[in-house]
Amino acid sequence: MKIIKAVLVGDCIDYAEPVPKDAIAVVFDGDVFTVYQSGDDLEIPAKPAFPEPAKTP
Amino acid sequence: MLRAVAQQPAVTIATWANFPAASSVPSGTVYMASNYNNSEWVSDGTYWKPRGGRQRPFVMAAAVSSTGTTSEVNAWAPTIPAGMLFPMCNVESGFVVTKTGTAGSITMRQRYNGAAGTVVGFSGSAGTTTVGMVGLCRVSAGVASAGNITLTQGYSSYTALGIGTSTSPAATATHTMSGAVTYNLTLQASSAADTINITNAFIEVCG
Repeated sequence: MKIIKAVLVGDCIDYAEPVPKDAIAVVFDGDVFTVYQSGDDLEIPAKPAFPEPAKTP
Repeated sequence: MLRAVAQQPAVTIATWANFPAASSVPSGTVYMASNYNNSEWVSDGTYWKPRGGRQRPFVMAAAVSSTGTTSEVNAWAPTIPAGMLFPMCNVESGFVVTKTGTAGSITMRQRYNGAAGTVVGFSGSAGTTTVGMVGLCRVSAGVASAGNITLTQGYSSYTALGIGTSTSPAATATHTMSGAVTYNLTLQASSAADTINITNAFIEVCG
């Protein structure tokens, strides 16, 4: 896993350094890019692609 | 027993930087770019062109998700190397996006030459209730002029089947064929509460 700082390029948030070639997932949390790499024994935070609709009473 | 075998051109495997000049090899010479998704390129005596008219040298290797910001975020920035684009080529790109949360809208952009580069591919938004988005766009090159080609945005709108029209001029970018350039896929959420996930993206070169 690698943390990459965010920099502002124009009006766009960009990586402060290149993403490693063995990256398998990149998660930006509003502050930094967390790069998950092959071989990491870490679970990538799962986000439901399609959230369940709110239940009605 | 002798059997007739169709002759196939030999394919030489090399990194793109080690390709010889297209003008230095006979027309029809085939090279495989080992560092660009094993895409295959054929010399026409002047330029390297995608074998069969289309190759996919760039496929996003890492899924990208973003949350916690309403700023535009540079998600994927593959570098198109010098010499990969040529007169009358097309650059086609696509993406698949899902969104978790329905607090705001999302905007996807395709920029030429960096995170703050020219929006040439597309700039499209989807409403707050959207949880999925698929994009496909094309920019097209014209003839060469002094080593440059002009990339012009396509698919500006669909007003008739197969025909795109626009009331404003299509975006363009001037590309120097002897130089490399990044082609940036960016995302932007209007609500920091939503999470945008790019699950797949690619770039193809056609011509």
